[in-house]
Amino acid sequence: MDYFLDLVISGLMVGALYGIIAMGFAMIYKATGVVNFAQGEVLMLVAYIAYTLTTLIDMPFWLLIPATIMIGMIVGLIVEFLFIRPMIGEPVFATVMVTIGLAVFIRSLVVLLWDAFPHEFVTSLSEQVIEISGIRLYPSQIVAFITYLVLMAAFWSFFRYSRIGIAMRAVANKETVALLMGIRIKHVYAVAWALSSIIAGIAGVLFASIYDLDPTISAMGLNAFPAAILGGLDSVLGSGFGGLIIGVVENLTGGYLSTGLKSVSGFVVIILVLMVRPYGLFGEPEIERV
Amino acid sequence: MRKKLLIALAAASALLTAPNSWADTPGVTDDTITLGEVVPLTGPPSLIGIAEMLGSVIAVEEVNAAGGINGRKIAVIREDDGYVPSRSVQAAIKLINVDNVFAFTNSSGTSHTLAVMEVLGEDNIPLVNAHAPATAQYTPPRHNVFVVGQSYTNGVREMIRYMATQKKGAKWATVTQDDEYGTELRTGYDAVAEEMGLETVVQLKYKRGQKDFSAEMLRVKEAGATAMLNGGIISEVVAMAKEAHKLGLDIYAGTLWTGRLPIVQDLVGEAGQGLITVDYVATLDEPAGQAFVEKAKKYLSAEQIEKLNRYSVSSYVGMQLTFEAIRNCGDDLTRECFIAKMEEIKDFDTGGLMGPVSFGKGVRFTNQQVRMIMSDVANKKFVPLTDF
Repeated sequence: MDYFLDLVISGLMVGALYGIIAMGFAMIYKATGVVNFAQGEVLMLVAYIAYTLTTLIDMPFWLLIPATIMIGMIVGLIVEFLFIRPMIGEPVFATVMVTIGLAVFIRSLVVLLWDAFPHEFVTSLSEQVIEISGIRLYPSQIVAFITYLVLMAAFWSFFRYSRIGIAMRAVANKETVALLMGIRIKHVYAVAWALSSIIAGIAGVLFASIYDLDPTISAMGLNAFPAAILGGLDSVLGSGFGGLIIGVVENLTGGYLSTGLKSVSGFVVIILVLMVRPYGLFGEPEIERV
Repeated sequence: MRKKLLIALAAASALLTAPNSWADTPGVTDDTITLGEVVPLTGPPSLIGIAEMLGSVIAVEEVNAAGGINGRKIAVIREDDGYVPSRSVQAAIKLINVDNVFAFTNSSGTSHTLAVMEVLGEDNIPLVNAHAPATAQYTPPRHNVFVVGQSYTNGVREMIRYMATQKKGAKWATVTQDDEYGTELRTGYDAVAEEMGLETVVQLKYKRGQKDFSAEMLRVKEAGATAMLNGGIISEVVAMAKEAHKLGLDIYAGTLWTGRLPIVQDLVGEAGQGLITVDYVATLDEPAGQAFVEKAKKYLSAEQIEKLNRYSVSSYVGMQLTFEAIRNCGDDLTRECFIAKMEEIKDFDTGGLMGPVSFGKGVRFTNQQVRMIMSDVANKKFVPLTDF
């Protein structure tokens, strides 16, 4: 039983990171209908900028998070303004291709500006293991899980109560009608990209503080993608929850079946779920009258 | 008189047009010998590639400062392959056809080198590889390829043998990569496990590039393992050690030579205290290594000195062997002569940077003696436990 619990808890810890990244995917998809294939690379870029900041300024962790939010917001707005805004009105497929190009560009930029070596992402969080009821965790893992819960709650409130959140839901529901109702679509797009980059940046910083920082961190984007599909690409909270499921499934597969099947198990789960619910666990079905 | 003049003219003309065999040798001129290198200078493995390049820079600067070899200076043209095999091949073709290099020194990864070897073989261009000593590079031996080092399989075999004698009755676990590198490690472990009758409680494979090892380490813990082959390369070695530390797993762990790169020690922190590594290259902390660093300071910047590691040392030794064969060919340097002189290298003294190095007739692998090294994280040192 202890073994099972250990697998589940450690799965939840890594799943929380998947969930945060998946929320970023869903945020952009919900508002713009675009799957952002540069999500992992944005995560990497923000994490590297935050890393540089920590090497220049001795910054406590509570200050690192707001700093990451600022960096993420700026990166998101720049990306949206330079690469995405010119694509408004173009086919979604073309915009998706732009995000693929953006991913390659950011990967090269990071290696050019920094390097390709692994770096220790030193934060003020203790390295001492904490034991809670026999479960041993690093403080950074606990912080990552708490951050996940805070983000889930924050986005639930955002979409339910804030004007911009409701505007986003309106745009996602029917862009033309939202436009006629006076919603400024460009602003909604910019906010979606900024929020998505903020989420990605937070995930990047948390991930780097638990493991280490090197350009392969961008692969986390791809690892988290099944979570977004599982939860429903148009459901931010559902995608976040999907992360936990993928994390636990991967760990149980590795713990009981084969460690070699860990990374495949998430994809097997989404195939099975999509066969029953093609729009994901929490996604909304698109119904067309014919 | 006229007859004497004709004879003198004929003799002069014969001398001028005499076919110096080196004159037809690519990359060799009156005053320069041009070598080529394909190394990963960008991408994650550049940590290794840059160090490797710096070792070669030190060797070349040193030999040129001493007047070159037999009156010729050494020039090296380096190409970055970004650790992509197709780019390794492109770079090698460019070095052969455009730059006309005499021979290749150093290399990129295992599969990259194997691909380049196919290109070199067509023209019998020599390669001295002191970087990635994979079995397939010297089995079967190729006429033009000389491999300096020890195979991953033998390295693991020797390390597990050492660890098993240090910790008798241990229950063993292995966590290795699901590729060719992992296969070599598992082959070494399996051989010594059978030979010594080791009790293996769990053997796991992981996906290349994996970051989270929680499930793997929990399985190792659940199986009751007390000793482990950590089959990671850099980040994986760190991640496994940290996860084991987190779980409170008191395990005697060993890994291959990448585990003793300074960056691994920095990243792993106290979780890596006591980690055993096997290597055939001296540490930079011991006298031979210190002398190497002092030499490097003459030719490299402070920033470059920071990037030196064991791959700089192995690369430097590889260059010394290359220079020795060139030197022994004298003025008449050809590729065939070079290969013959490489074959003749016997008990080459590396000044303590490695054990003695030997090739032989049909022998293309030096089969270096290995030693065990312990990571002393607290003092930021690597402590040799055995000699070469």
